[in-house]
Amino acid sequence: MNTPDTKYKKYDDKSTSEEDGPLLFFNYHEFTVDDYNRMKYESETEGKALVVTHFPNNDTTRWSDEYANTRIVRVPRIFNTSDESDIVPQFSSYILGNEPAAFTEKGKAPATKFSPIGVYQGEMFGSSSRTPLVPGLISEDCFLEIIANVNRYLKDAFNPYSFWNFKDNVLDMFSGTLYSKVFCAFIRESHCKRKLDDLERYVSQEVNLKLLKDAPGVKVISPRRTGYLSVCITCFYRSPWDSNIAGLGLFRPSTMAAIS
Amino acid sequence: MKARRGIAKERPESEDSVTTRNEALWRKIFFNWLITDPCLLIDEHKEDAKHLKNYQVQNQEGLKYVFFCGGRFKTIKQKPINVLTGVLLVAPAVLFWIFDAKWLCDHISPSLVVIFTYIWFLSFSYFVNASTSDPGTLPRNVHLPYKIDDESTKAPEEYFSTVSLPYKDEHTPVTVRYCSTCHIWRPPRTSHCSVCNSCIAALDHHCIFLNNCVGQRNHSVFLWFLLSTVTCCILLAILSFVQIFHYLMVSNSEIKTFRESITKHPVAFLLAIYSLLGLVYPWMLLLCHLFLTSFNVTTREYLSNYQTRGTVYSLFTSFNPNSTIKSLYLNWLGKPNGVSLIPMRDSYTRGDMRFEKVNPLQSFTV
Repeated sequence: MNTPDTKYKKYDDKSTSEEDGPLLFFNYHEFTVDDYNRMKYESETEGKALVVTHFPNNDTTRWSDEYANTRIVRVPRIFNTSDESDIVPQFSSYILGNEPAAFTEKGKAPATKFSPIGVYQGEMFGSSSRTPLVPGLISEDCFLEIIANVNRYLKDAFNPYSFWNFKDNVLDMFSGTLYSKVFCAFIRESHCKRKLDDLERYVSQEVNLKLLKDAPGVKVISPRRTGYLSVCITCFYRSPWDSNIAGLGLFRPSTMAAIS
Repeated sequence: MKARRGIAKERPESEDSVTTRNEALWRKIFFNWLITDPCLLIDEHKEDAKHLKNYQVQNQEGLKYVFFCGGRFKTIKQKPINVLTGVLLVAPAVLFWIFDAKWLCDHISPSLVVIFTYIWFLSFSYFVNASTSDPGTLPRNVHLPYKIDDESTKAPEEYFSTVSLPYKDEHTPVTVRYCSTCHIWRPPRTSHCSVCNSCIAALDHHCIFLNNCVGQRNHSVFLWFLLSTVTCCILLAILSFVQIFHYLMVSNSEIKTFRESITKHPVAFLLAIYSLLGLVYPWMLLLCHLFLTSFNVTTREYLSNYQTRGTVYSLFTSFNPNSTIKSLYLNWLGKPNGVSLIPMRDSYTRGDMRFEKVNPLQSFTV
């Protein structure tokens, strides 16, 4: 059974972690569920926990159609790609479900795509860490390109060793923070803010417009809205009669029943 | 005649209604803009308001923010010790300018007054910034694992565990924890402040003298505040003692004794004592934070590690770069200010999940 016990042990001190082997990265947003409605035969799902890999879209307003009709896939923060990862937010560039400690079916090769086996809270999930997003809705290259660019913009913005950030801080120090309160507010924004605005423009104008053409229904949420805590990518539910949306897409269980 | 009487009767009513409208407008400006406690907002259509700003809305219980000047400044609903700190900062400067500045300009140099004024201005400005700006508050409800209407659903057990992820190598961990109050996976060094009831990035401590948290966005300002206050106290003490003992430095002084000097310059004597007393606590804090920042350790990390690992090892956390200069640079000059992650002055959209009331995630135990 793919249980979370080995990934979620409490590490009290270094010696404990060394005895348990090296630390492996995984998507900490996912969780497992044992009690679910099975979609396949009992023998195929016996001993398998459902891995919840997509979530309600809490990045929109509560009573909107988008909240009712979209799901979100979350790309987690990663901390071993930069020494200053507490200052510079960086996101995992592993394909979702391909992380070193991702859930896979015991005794089988790692899953290559999202294969639902059960229904939980009215949504379909599989028994591995694979999400419907990649490669179902967007290609691996597209996903990696988006994450790499987001990471690059964030590194430019928050790099503490950047001359421009150093200059902004020194001017702030000698002006009693009037530089950031007055000059940056009314004349020219700080380097960090400008780079973060560039990131917002990249996501809203380059990425989302491209996805509108290539993968309708898939959209990257504004990173500032999520507090740079995760990259949230929404997926619209697909109508079974909609031939414009390619890929596996997401089906509501009720629509699957209608098809079958 | 009748028409004039009709006009004469209308005047008191229109004046009353205008007066009432003006009063209502001033009350709204005062309570909705100048000082805004979201719980006391004056708005008849608060429930359905499309014109509110984010800082005017508080659906979540337990938040204690009060905003000023249209959400530009904020403080916490606690004992206003920061007002006392402000008074302690302003009062000696005012006394100096009124009583001693002219004597220093005439007898020594105006540049001393200018230098003191500049350093005092820095200190006061840092104080206002550190006590009223956003310390790095993280948005709420971003990582809610279920739909907001499904709160009775069993919460995932994984969200109550400590997750260790690799940092510099596979054996150096950083910990990520889920905040069941804010419903977010907290990055390393982020902590939930129980006073502010919010998660703050790189929380150092909640300062009662500032009535605000010291976190990622205002940590360097806090350090500059300590340094400038100590410098200001030392400078004020020196200037005051120079004024008091000036009779010993000149040959033709009218003052002959110490008693005569302090009788002639009582405020200088008072300021000398005041600045020496006022130097003690900021100086100790400055030394403490110099020590901690030279290891790139926050106060909270040091105190929590001290309990489990003892004095020496509590300084060597995962984020210690093993270089004093690098650590000092990162904390004093390196970290960019970033942006506020909760845009308080943006227009409020009804149903925005970041401002909705969601009960804390609870684990079901059998």
